[in-house]
Order: sequence, then C-alpha cells, then structure tokens
Amino acid sequence: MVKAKYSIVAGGVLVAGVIAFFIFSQSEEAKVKKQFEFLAEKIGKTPEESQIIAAAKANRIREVFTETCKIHAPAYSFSRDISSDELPTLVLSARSQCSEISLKLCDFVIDFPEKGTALVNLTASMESKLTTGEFIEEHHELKCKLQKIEDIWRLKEIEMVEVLKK
Amino acid sequence: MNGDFNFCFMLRYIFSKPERHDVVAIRLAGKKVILLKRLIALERDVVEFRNGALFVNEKKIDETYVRYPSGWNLSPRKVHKSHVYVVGDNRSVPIGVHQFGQTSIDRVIGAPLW
Repeated sequence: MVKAKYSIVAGGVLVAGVIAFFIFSQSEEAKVKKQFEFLAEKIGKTPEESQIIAAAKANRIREVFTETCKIHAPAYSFSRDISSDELPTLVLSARSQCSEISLKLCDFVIDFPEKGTALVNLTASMESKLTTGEFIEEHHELKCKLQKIEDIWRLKEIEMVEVLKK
Repeated sequence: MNGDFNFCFMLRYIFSKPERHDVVAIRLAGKKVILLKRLIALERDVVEFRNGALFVNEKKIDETYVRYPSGWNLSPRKVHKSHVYVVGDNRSVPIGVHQFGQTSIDRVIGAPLW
C-alpha cells in the first residue's frame, strides 16, 4: 500500500517535471520563431504611433540581424547587403510611407543544417495602408538564413522566393 | 487572396492534371496562405498578351471569365517544363502590380470548391 503511494507520488513528480521542462526550456525552433515574432511586432504600425515609438522600433529591429544581412528580392529588382547601422534609417523611411502596417508570418519550416545555423522557409503576409490612403496586401514566401551569435538567433540572409515568375 | 476564406479541394488533381482555364490553388511556403489563379497555359506553351488579349502559341484565346478587360502587353515567353502559367481574373490593375506568371506544377495543391 505504502509502496503504491510512493509510486503515485514519484509518477506525479515526474509528470510535473516533464511539463515544467517543456514550459521553461524553449526549443531552438521556438527561439527562432520568437525572433520572427519580434520582427513582425516591430514592423507593425498603428495610426496612433508616435515618432518616438517609430524611431525606437526601427532601432530595435537591429537586434534580430547580423552585422550585415543579404536581402534578395528579385520581384522588386532589389539585391544588396545591408549593414545593421543602415537598417534603422531604411526601416524608418519605409514605415513612414504607411499609416498602418500588419505583418503576419506563418507556415514555418525550420531546419538546422549545422550547429549555429538555421534555415527557415515561411510565408509573410503584409497588409498596409499608405499615407495616401491606398491599401496594399502582399503575400510572399521567404527563405531566410539565421546565425546564432551569443545565444541569439540573427537574420543573415533573406530571399523573397519568386513563386510566380513573369 | 484578399484575406477571404475559401474551401480548397486538395484531391482535385490526384488523378488528373490541371487544365487550361481551371482556377487553381497555389501554395506559398505552406498551405495557410494560398493564391487563387486562372491557369492559362501549360508546360512548353508560349504565352503573350497583346492589348489585353491572351495569345497561347500564337492563337488568340477567348477568355469569357475576364470581367474587366485590360490593355496588357506582354512579350511572348515559353512556359518551362513542369510549370504552368497562371493569371488572376482581375485584369483591371496595371500589369506591373498584378501577381501572375509561371510556377512549378508542384505548387498547385488543388482547386477552390466554390
């Protein structure tokens, strides 16, 4: 009887331990996803956003990029390396053309080909309202390469996949 | 597209291949966001637009489903092997803005139910 009691308690402790492990220890996949969530949040914009908040958001975007990030978007004839110092100005300038921005990221396929490298395929859906009042909705497939630097996953390459090629 | 919900019949092309004029569902990275487009040409076809009229292999195609005709012009281009050429029915937007073109047949995951 006593033995059975101890077994039940031990089992309970084990289950609690497993649950706690999953709650408190983030998997690498979750850490990668978290970086994208952070990026989507910082790109997002509401009509009430002040200039100070806009500047702070643009500045914080640097946190998810490596020193230099290669961006390749053939649909927009854009391909170049962007340094993290340039990023806030570029982001601020792009966001200033919109009064509202919503970026949703889904369909993540995450692969770790080697230690410290993550390859991510995802769909990005962006809805934005320009300051001119025009509404824009775009959906793109993105291929991203991330590097883990000082235990933080950072974007090193972003490629916009040409799903439809004219 | 446009944030609408559509029911997609994923088994549509299990035993058959997509045909010209079918409306097909095209996946991006996954299946949460899909593009609904009209298939206008198959592999190795040559596609061209002349003043809004569609030509496939030099032959003018009658597109009864196009509500708002366009003045699109697109030089002839060949559809690659294992690819299909798709265009949306809304041709009222400028050709530079409209999302269309050739895509791998593997990306065609079905057809809308309605």
